[in-house]
Amino acid sequence: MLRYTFPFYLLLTDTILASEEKGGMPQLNPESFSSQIFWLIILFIVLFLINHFFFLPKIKKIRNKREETIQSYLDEAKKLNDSFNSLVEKMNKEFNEAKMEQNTLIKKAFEENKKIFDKKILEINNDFEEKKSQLNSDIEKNKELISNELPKLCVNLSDNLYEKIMGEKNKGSVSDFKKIVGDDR
Amino acid sequence: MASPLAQFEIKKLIEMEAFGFDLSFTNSSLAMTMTVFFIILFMYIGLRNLEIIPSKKQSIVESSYEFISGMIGDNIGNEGMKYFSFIFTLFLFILVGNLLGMLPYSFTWTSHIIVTFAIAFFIFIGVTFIAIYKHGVVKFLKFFAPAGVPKPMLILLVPIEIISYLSRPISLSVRLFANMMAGHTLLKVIGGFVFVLGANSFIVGGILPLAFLIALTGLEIVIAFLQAYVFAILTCLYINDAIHLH
Repeated sequence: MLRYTFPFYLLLTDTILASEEKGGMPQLNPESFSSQIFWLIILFIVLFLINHFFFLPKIKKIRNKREETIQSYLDEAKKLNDSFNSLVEKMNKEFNEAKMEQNTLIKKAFEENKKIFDKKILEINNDFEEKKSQLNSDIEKNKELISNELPKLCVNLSDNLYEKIMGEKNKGSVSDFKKIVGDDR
Repeated sequence: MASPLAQFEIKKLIEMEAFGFDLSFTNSSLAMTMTVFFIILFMYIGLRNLEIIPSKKQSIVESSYEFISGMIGDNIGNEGMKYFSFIFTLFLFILVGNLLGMLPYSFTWTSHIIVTFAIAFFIFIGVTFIAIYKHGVVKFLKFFAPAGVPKPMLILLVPIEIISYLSRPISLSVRLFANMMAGHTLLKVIGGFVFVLGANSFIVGGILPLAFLIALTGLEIVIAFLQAYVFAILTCLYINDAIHLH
């Protein structure tokens, strides 16, 4: 059954089935040389042509394509990297510029504010001084007024007290009061 | 029992004759046809759906491509890429021929001196033609008289160089043929031992030669690859000599 089931049954040599033995090496029997060379040439050329014109260009093509794809990816990655680097550079530059601008702005604002602040302080101080001097003068004035009015008020008060206690009117004078108090002004 | 050499016998399958030559399709031709068929099948399956990221099948085919292109790159250089298709075909042809021969009941066409000699002879003719075409006859003949050798020595050296050059196809073909034939004969002999010793000692005696046979089969598969490789690499070296003429 093996003869019919084995896929290479046609390749069977009859080593097993050999009924007669021949001496010597079959390789040296020139009878088969012409057919072997003929079929070798035919089959080798067929295989060579199929490989050369059909299979190998396919492999070459796909390998080139692969190389191109890898190269294009590499190029793209390099390009992206470059653009990324330039962006980072640009960003850093802009950041630095912004930082400098920010510093000058802060400085300027600070100075302006300081100026306004100083001015306000000066104004407030002036105001304050003015108010202070006015108040002082008011106080002085009132003080004077009080000191002028005080003997008269005291006399009135004492007159009133006298009237309440004694039941008769008394008319005191400021000069008398001053004499009693000892203030001869 | 059949002779260990009976496996190499050529059997005519389809008788043919032309111009007085016997061109019959024999078991050797069939084995060769199967070799071609399997190579085409291998390439076809591998290259059916080409992808930039290769499938397993595609990468096997591509690695064989890479193997040969690496061999050519190392031994010839970029100029050798012109001969890529030839060396690739040659390597696969011999490799698959050797490996198919390892199948039981098959035929090893590489074990026939006339076939290996024909291949080696065509390579020899081709290489000589390339050398003459590239460098001209005079420069090619100078190849046999290395520069810087004293003149009296040339009398001795030139014949040696010529003999060594002419013996290239013989050494190339005999190396492959002898290796394959010896290997297969040995396998057959050991196989006979398995049968005879096993039959005479209730199977027990056959165990040792069987183990040996299995080990030898593994070795033969390695040799099948190695001989194809050696054949291809020597072809590369010859082409390199023809292109560069040391």
